[in-house]
Amino acid sequence: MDRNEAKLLLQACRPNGQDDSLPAFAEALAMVERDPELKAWWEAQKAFDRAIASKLQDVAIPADLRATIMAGRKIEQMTPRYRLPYWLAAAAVVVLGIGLAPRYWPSTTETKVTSLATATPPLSGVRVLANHDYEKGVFDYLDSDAMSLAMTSPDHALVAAWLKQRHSPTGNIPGKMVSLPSAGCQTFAVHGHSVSLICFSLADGGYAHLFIVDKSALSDPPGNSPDFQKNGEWFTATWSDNDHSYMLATEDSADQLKRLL
Amino acid sequence: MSSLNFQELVDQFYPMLYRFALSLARNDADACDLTQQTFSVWATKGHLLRDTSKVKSWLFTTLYREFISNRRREMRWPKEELSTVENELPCVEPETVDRMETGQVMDALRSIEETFRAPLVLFYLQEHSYEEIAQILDIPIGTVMSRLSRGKQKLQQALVSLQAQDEAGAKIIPMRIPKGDQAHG
Repeated sequence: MDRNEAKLLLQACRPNGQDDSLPAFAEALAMVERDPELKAWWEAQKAFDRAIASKLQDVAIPADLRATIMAGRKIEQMTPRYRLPYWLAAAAVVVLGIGLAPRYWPSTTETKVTSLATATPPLSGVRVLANHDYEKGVFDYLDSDAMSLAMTSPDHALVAAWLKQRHSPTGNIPGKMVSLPSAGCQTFAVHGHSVSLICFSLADGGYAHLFIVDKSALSDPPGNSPDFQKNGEWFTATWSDNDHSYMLATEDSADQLKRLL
Repeated sequence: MSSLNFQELVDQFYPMLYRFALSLARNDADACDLTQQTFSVWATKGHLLRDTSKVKSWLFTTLYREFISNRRREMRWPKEELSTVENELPCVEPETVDRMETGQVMDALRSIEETFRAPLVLFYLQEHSYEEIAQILDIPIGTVMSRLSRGKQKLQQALVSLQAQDEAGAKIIPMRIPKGDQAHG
């Protein structure tokens, strides 16, 4: 490394010392100690960088910016921000066609998850889901880039109405979660079965995701009492009532789930 | 990321995001809009981020993408190799910078082409390493280093120009308006 290369590297080294221990700068910083001219340059460079950084910290923040951000958040929570664009509606038609395909082609064991803005009633002839296929479908969706809320509202009645309109299961929200505001909802399909997703905003700012599917869609639906599991980074509770099977998922902890149920 | 409280997130990051936005957007209103947009995106998509340690980079990346998107312009970064760049001693003394108004330094920063300005401001905010800056701007590490080096040279040139303008302005003796010529009101 020559002096010019050392200078080029050191210009990316923050003047507050945060980067001094990074291996990328070790050789250049060692060279600084051996080369008085380079050392003088480096000291002057750091002083200049500190002066600019300090000026940047002096930039005044508009007094009302924070309040505006917080107000914007509240408005967004109350207003559905998503409208189905025409191209996506067209795509949904194509996806619907693909959803019908299992009726005519043999199904595979691979889990297929389809995000449908307009979910369809379960198709006759759609196979009953093995539990692991259903769970894989849910987790694939949860971890996918496609996951989003098609409708946002803190109002459970509006969320339920939106889901019903799309023939997606609504079921019964567990007792303690009734008082939590929802962040919104989405509907998607696992192997042709409509699954509803309702996200709940928790007091600590986090979220809990409730998935609802028709009980008849599962080959071995969970029992009436919640069964707590850990799947990767997700803590889940699964249970059923007369008509629906539920999965509640959070990244927080199993205790968090127990508090909610 | 769900464990992060929205309000705490805003409190922790909005000042530095606003400063970055202000350097990109060139005016207060656009900078405020960009900052708010960033948190708005967070409100709808933030729960998808699983690694809480990446929230700061995520916010800066989002703000930068929103800026690019808002401008509706394709950015074509010229590829730059990690080359040796002539690095002279800063021609602007730190004391000179200290004496300048914050607005003047911001003007100097904003006079630099955006290609150099974005990494430079991220560097001077001191919140991100060169590797993180590369991730936020989606450019190679070598390019970050090259742009920081050239950006600093451009900043010094801009500061020298501002300083020269100030000195020229100081030599102008304001003309005193005779009392009788002043408008009544």
